[in-house]
Order: sequence, then C-alpha cells, then structure tokens
Amino acid sequence: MDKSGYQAAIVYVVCHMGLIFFLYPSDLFSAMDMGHWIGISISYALHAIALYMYVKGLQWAAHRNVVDIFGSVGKFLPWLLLLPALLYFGVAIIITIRAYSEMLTLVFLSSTPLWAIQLLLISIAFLMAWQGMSSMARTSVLLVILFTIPILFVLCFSFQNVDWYYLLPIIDPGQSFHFLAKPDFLVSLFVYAGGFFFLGLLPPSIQISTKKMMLGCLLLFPMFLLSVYLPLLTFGHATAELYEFPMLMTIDTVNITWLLFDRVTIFFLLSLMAFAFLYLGVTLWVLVTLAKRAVPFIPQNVLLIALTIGLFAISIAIPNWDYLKTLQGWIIPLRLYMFLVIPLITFIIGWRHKHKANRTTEVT
Amino acid sequence: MDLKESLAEYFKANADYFNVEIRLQQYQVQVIGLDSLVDLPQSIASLQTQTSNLVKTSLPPAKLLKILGELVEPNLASIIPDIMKGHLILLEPLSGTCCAVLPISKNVTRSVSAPETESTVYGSSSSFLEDIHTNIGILRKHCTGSSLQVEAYTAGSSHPKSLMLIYQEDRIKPQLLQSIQAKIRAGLHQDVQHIQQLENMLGLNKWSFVTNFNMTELPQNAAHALQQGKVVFMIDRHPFAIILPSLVMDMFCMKDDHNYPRTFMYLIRLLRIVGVLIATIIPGLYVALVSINPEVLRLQLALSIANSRQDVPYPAFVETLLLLIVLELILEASVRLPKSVGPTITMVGGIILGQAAVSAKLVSNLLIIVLAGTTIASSTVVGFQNAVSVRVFKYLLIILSAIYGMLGLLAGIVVICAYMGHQKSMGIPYLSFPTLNQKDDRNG
Repeated sequence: MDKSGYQAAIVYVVCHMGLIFFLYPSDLFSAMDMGHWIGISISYALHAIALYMYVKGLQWAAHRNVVDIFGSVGKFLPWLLLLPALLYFGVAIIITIRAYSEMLTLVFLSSTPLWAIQLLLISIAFLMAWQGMSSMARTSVLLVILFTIPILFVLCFSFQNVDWYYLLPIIDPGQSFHFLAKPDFLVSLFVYAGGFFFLGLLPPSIQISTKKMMLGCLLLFPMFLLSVYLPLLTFGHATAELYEFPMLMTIDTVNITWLLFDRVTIFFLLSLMAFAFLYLGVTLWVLVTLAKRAVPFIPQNVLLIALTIGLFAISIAIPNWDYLKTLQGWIIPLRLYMFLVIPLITFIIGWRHKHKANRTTEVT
Repeated sequence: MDLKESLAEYFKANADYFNVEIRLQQYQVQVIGLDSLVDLPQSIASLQTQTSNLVKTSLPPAKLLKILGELVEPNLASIIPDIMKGHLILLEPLSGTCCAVLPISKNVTRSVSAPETESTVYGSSSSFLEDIHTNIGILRKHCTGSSLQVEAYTAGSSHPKSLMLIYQEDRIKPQLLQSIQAKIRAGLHQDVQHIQQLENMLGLNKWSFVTNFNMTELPQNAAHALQQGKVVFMIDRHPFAIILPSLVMDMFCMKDDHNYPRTFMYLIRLLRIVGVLIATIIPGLYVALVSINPEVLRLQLALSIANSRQDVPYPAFVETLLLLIVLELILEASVRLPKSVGPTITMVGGIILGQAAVSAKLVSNLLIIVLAGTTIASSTVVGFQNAVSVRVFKYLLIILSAIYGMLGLLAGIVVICAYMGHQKSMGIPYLSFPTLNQKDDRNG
C-alpha cells in the first residue's frame, strides 16, 4: 500500500535503533582507546556507501528480488552468494537473542531463567515473521509512534552527569588506524552489517525511495555517536570499557527527582527492546524468505516453524557469555561479506542491467 | 379454488389478514392486505377519492387498476410478497385483474429522536432509526452531493431483509466497491439479521479482536465516512449505519470534533489516544510493578504500595483479575438493566463492593484507583465496539506482565501492535490513514 517509501525507511531505522545502543559501545570501547569518532565515522561512511550501492543496485535492476537479481547472472550464483547470508542471519539471530536475554536478566529479571526470556524473544519474532513483511512494516510505524518519545526523553536527560573533558583528546597523537584490523572493531561492525539486507526481499507493495533511505541513514548517525559518547562522557574511557553494557549503566546514573520511577533505564531499555523485537522479526523473515527460495517444495510455514525451533535450540545451547564472544569472532568474515560484498555485487549487477536496458532501448 | 379462497387459506393463521369488498366506479373490488401494516379506512377513502376524481367514467378494470397501482400477476406467488411488505392488493374478481397499491400505512416507526448510544455535544443530534427509508432520508440530508449512490439488495431466503449499500461514487476506490458488490451478490441467499451474518456474507474475519465494522447512530458520522471513501450499510430494522472498513483512527476521531476549534480538536483526540494507552497498559503495569519489578518505583512509593498490599493474601495477578472481572460484570449488567435499576448496580458495585473489598483486605487501595482509571479511560474511545476491543487487550498484557514483569508488558504491547498491523478488512489494512479515496481535495 505504501508508495512513498516511508515504510521501508522506517523499518530500516527501527531495526538499527534496536541494535545500536546495546552491544556496539562496549565493542568499540575495547577496539579503540581515544578518538572514537574516527572509528564511528569510518564505519558509518562505509555503511552509508554500502546502503546507497545496495539500494541503487536494486532500483537499477527494476526493483526485483535480490535472489532474482543474482539469479539473472548464473544459475548457481544465487546459491553461492546467498548461502553465506543464510548462515550469517542464523548466527545474527542467535547472538541477538542470547545477548539480549543476558542483558534483560542483568537489568531487571534476575530470577527468571534465561531460556524463558529467549523463548519470549523468539516467539514474538516468530509471530511477526509469520505475518509477513507488509504487516511488519505497518507495525514498525506504530512502534515508532509509541516509543520514540520515551527514547528521546531519556536520551535528553542522560546528559545529566556528563563531563565534557572526557571528550579530549579528540585525536590520538599517534593515530595509526591499526584498530581497523582489530577483531573487536570488526565485531563492532555487527550493527552496520546486514541490517539493510531485507530491502532486497521486500514485496512489491512496499517501495524503496533512495532519498528517504539516505535520510533515515542520516538520522542514525547521531545515534551511533550518542551510543558511544554518552557513556564515554559520563564515565571516561577507562571506566566505560569495563562495562558489558555501557549505555545502560550510563542511563542508570540518571536521576530525575520529579518522576514517579526510580530507574529510567527500564523505559529506555524497553522502548529499544520493542525495536529489537522488530529487528528479530525482520531477520527471521529474511531467513525464511531465503530458505523458501532454496527449498521451494517445503511450505513456508513449516520452514518458519522449523527454523524457529532450530534457532531456539541453538541459542539455549550456548553456555556462557565468553562463548558468545568467540562466536562473534568466528563470523567476522561472514559479516564483512554481508557488509561490503553483497551491496557491491548488487550494485554491479544492477548497473549492468541498467546498461543492457539502455542499449536495447537505443536499438529499438 | 379461486384466488380469494387460496389467499384466505394461506393467511388463515394470521389474524391481521383482511379481505373486504369496496366499490370503485362501477366495479366491485376486493381489497386485501394486513391490518397491522395498513391503515384500512384511510386507504379506502384515498382510493375512492382518486377514482371519483377521474374524468373518464367507464374505464376497463385493467386500466383503472393501472392508474391506482402496479399491475401484478393474479397468483399466490406474486401477491404474497407484496402483502408481506405492507402493500394493499386490489383484485377485480370478474376480469381477474390484480394490482398492488402503496397504501396509507400504519405508523410502526418512532419519530426521529436523539441518539441513545452515542452522545454529541456540538453536533446534529438526530439519529438513525429502524426504518431503512427514513435512515436514508436522514443521511441524504447530510450528504447533499449528487455522487451519493444507494444500491438496494434483498438478502436472505427465509426472512428477506432489505440491505442498502451506500457510497459516494467519486470518493470510493473502485476495487473496494467491486469486491464488496461481488461478495454481496454471491451471498444474497444468506440471511442478514445481524452483524455476524453480514460479516459472513462479506467474508470478513469472524474471530478478529478489532472490530470489522464501525456502527454509528449519528448521521453526520456516516456522512463523514462516505466522504472518506468508505461504504455504509443499512439493514432494515437496524438503527445503525454500519461503516466498512473500520480503521484505527476511527477509535479517536469523529465528525463532531470538527465543531471544536482546531487546537481543541487535536487535544481531544490526543486525550483519547492517551485514554486507550492508559486503559490497556495500566493494569498490566500494576501487576508488573507490584509482583516482579518493584525496584523500578521510587522507594517511598514502593513501600507505600507494599504497605497497602500487606494483608492481601494472594498475588497481584489474581487480585487484579478478580476486580477486573467484577468490573466487567458491572459494566455488562448496567448495559442490560433497565435505566431505573442501573444506578443501583452502580452504587452497589462502586461504593459497597469497592469499599468492602478494601476493608476485607481482598484488594489493595491502589488497585481500586488503577481499575477505576482503567474503566473510565477505556470509555474515551469513539464507538462502543472499539471500547470492547480495548477492554479485551488489557488481559493479554496482565497475563504477560504476571510472567515477565515489565518485559512482558512490553512484549504484550508489541504483540498488540503486530496484531493490529496484520488486520485487514476487504483488503484494507487496519492501520491505514483515514482517507481511502485516491482523489485529493486540493488537486482534484
């Protein structure tokens, strides 16, 4: 129903908002000691370029499905190219569910077993993926309307304990960009990679507008900065580095005397969790859509149920936080592939397609 | 057996059936009809006035009857539906000519009065009533444009009812109209006595938690819906306009809001949205805060809540559910009861039960406040059927809050959002913008 391109942009922004504030800051703190904005800007620029290439590639290829676009080049190419994507999204869901349930236990459900929270997360993701992309797109609009105000409210108040001296030094005197190769930095790319892949699988009823996507992307830049700089300015690098979830610790320090509630963290966390639910739903839907293309003879609903049960089983099998860290380290190549290679290939194929189309119109 | 006898045989169990002979010009004519629907003396007087005024005095019976009404075949099958509709049948036995006349009918409808289930502050206060033609007349007064279309259908085989489909030709999306018309034509054999049967006929989701139709007693709301490109159904003997499709903003907006200054209109709508949020979230929030996440509250507040719940023997979940069910009972009872008994129930429910439940330490003081607020807030939405949806959603939140605390509350909200995002009626998503028409007022 949406012809203006707002829905796709909103889903994109919401998915990333659900990711940015949780795992990203601590990964970046362990990757860099000072001048964090350089790291953020580099990865953000890459993200924006990748997004632009991906969207342009899709549009040039006449808004076709990304699987069809890859299929137009060769028969086995989609298999070869999209199998890593399948694997990556599977791992991404597992990591997200596991990490978020750990965090939720930490913050406010100390006596609830981990598996129960994981079950809740995956069942809601299942519910959303079951309904399909158009429903999720509409849901995302509603979620934005409901949860933007608490997030902005908390973000504004979280400047309460800021010490601006922690901003310094702005640039590391001996900046050597060696952090770019650090595993921790590559792990931090988690929030940049793959979040926009779903654009390539959107049904024709949802259109993508390059302008609105890039506007959405621009909106995310301050969020990336805030997620790192709020903890940094509150605690300083040395302390912030020690926390597993620096952003949540920052917001825990906020004290609003006139509010009924003691901990505003909970509102921030919950609002972002609503967005994270959508991210999980979208990712699960991407997985199912890809899997359906791979094995078309199995009904989609059966695939979805099987995938959900499988992912849940794997995510409860992960024994501890360290194991999760290792897992994140393992998928670095996959992540870089999702982040840089897939948009590039889409761009190239789209460009070729456009040129071919131009030539045929010239001939006729 | 001639027609008169077979009619008498058919209607022998109907005490209101009459068959009298009168003289029209030179003919003896039988006048047949139902006493309960036809004002006989006045109708006969009117027929005689009409015939006595005729210039030509010697018309054959067929021509004479044609002037008075519509000729029908003189057999049971074609006469009986006319009689049932309240028409008067004139039968000239010698020639066997028969005609159906629109008589002066007994008045079986009330006059247009103020609405009973919806109230207006600033706005027209006439309401629809049971008679379909009056309804359409009232609606036409509100929609004076030429694009208003009224299609009539007779639905059902055992108890036929007239069903009117009303729309504005230049506003409605052609696909929506065509799909509705096709569904109606395919389902004309089904009885349409109530809304569930109409849902059946149109193939809508029968188990939906959000309402498929908006029903309104107020003509201005129906006219507004037509303006927005929706369709309105009218069923005979049903004092409501049934608006399809129902969208989320219909919960918060009504036509009369436009009679307020614009600022107040938006503020009032915002208030309704807040009302819905409070009504769905607050009971769940209470359960979550009291039983799972008390640390979220300020210490003093948490202590005072704990203090008020000190002697309550069971968990907050049971406590809330207990009182909520009592409240639902009161609400349902006060709808059912005659107006003279209603206030008693309110008093018993509100003062005696509420006060006693607290004194007996069955529920905490705070819960009474929470639930009173909830019940009031859930009535701020426009339309009773929307209020029912809101009432249902809060139970999901209470159950999830009792298990997962604040996280459960959030999960419930997300589930409700996802559910609303998934709902569609006649292909139009529940979460669409209120104007369905493609044409814009500004650019034609």
